[in-house]
Amino acid sequence: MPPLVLSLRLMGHTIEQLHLSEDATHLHIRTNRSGDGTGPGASASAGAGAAEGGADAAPVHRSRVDYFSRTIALDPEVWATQLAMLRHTVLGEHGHVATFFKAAEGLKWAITRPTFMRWVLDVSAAVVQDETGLRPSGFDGGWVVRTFGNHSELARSYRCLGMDANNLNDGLRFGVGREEALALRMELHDTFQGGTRDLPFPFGYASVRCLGGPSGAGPPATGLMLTAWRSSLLSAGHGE
Amino acid sequence: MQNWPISNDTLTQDLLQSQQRMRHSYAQLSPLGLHPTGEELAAAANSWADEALRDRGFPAAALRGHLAAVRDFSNHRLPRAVTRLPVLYPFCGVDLMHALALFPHAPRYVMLAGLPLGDPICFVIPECRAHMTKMLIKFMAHWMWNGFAWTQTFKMNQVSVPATQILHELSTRLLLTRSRPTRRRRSTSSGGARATARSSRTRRSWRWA
Repeated sequence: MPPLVLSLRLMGHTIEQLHLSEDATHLHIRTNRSGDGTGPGASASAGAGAAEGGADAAPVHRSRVDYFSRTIALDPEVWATQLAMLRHTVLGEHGHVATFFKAAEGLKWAITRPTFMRWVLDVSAAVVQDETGLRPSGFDGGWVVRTFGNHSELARSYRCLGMDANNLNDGLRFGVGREEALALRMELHDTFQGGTRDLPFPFGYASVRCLGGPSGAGPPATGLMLTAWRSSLLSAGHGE
Repeated sequence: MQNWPISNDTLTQDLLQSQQRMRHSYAQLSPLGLHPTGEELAAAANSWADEALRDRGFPAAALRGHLAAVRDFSNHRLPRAVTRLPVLYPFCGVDLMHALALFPHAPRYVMLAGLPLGDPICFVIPECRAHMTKMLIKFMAHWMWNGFAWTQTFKMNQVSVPATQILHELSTRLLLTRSRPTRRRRSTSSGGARATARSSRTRRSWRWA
């Protein structure tokens, strides 16, 4: 909980309401924030009053955080029930969401299961993720997809972190065989060829220490990021 | 999400045990008359965060640079319509910060992770606040070492529920001295409120702000 509260404050939010459910599984936070939260003074001005800054006329942005302390089940039937509940919670009052995956190495095989991928793509109008998110091939022609970073650079980072990116057996408990694991690895390699520019900040398992930090002598730190949004999202008049 | 179906794996059972400990710590503190409202917890959380941000050990400059880069990326690489969507962040750990920076206009952030949540009552107990700050500074050093890009699960566990033991010791100590709240005073002067609970044998102050 402390990092959640600190992040909100750091990003210019004032917490108005904080409630933990009796079974200690659901934290609900309501906040407000002056300004749009994207300007240089919106955050990181550490200290009291950080959240109260901004022009008098700045609009007040209200938002909520719902943090569920839950695990997912490996049993496909139980998992399906969980996804149905989550769908009701997430989409209860919204049309679609932006889904975000980052540094979920231990769960990447669950995330890349067809059932879960279909579920995510169904509830999402946008996805932002690193290499531990959905399979890139899951985004069909109705999506605008952009990639950042180079897969070979990331492989170097994985080695440095002592993570075995070439282990084709770690998906077995999710029913993912060696062939499918190899196919995913090749898919990531083909998707992240470095054709697009690098990320300007470390993301996911990018290792600053291995790849050279922002102020280091080596190449800039990078990670892999895929951004995708439904083309209909922009054509619906929301603008870019 | 009531009645979330659970499985019998180790991670789930460990999480359930941690959540039960949380409920137990609440139950222990209940006889002491410590029942802050959601607004009071919010005010206390804000003031704790402000104090933590001022701590000399907090890596403010490095984090400022990182967040500026993330926000700049969001501004230039993500359509405004995307940054306005509600956000679903499964398997998020404790990282709300990147969701806030990438999607600054979202009306809602739904997060899901197999981590215990800790106890918000800590925000009104001075001993807990100090301990949370100490653990947070350690965590931030670890996070900064990894470029704020990723963290290890056991580090997130440490910072998620930093003060369970302190809560337990405090409630046990106060209950052993048969403390009961006999007076409770609140002031709502500028910036928040403060309450004092005075018992026959001890005097405790709780900080709402």
